[in-house]
Amino acid sequence: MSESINFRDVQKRTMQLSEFEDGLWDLLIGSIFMVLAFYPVTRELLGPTWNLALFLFLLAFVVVGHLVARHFISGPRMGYVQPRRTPQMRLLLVVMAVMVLLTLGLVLLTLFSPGRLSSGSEPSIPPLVRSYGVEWMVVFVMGAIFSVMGYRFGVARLYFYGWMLGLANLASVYMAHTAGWTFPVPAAIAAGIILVIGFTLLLRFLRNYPIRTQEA
Amino acid sequence: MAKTTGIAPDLLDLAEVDRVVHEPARLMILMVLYGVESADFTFLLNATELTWGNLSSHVTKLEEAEYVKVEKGFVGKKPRTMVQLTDTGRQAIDTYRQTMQGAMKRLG
Repeated sequence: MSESINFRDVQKRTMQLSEFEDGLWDLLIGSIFMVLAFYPVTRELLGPTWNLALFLFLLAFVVVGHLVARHFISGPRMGYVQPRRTPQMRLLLVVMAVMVLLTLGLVLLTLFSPGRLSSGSEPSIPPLVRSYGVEWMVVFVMGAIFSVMGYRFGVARLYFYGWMLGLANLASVYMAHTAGWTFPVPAAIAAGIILVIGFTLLLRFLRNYPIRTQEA
Repeated sequence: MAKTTGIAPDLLDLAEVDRVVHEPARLMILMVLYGVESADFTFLLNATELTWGNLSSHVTKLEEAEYVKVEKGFVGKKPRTMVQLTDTGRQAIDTYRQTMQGAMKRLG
């Protein structure tokens, strides 16, 4: 019996059920990175100030949409769980929040740097000589953050998301320098893959977990 | 433990195992609650795959043993029953776990 019951596994499964079964986190991550991917395109159309306003509005929209969907779609079907707030969990959340902000900052720096956006002009350093140090740092930071989350919550696809998004960012910057792409196609494809996974999980969730009408 | 001449003296502590916790359905409920602050009935239904009646009766037994605390409330017009593991319940699981792990180790 002790062989088949592992407390840590049960806790991970509880976390998976309460947080990751519905695909809404996937949709949130995919949406944020899709908005980031379109940032350079809309910037050329709107200018930096209005584009930033649009970016912040869309960011707020997807976050609020996520919370509303969790409340009205996921909650009645899966139920509500109040997570246990141990000191270790609080520390982990703070560390993750700081690292996520750091990563977003790095992504913004690499994707939207002025040199990268001037697609018509020659980059000051030849693309093959350029070391892409910051972009590689983004790859490893994102890979590490998502891997820690994937391990902590027992969600294997988060490992894939982290490395894919990091490498897609690197590929986008490389393509911008070598081919002059203003639209980061690899980043958009990565975000699109996450969105497709999210929608698939959401559909499966809606089919598997109908709204329960009886209450004790 | 007193010295005994029975067939399996090392396993005698199994006889003292908490039967409220030992029942599989209740053990499942307790284990789900062990990792969270509290959960509502709908989540416990999904996590344990018990029927509504079964879950309700087991939660009542756990509440009688003071292993869980049940709070009934409303969110808007909808009723919501939240179940939370008490300190006694947490201690009971830890004790049960140690007892079972010790017994399993001795079984080899």
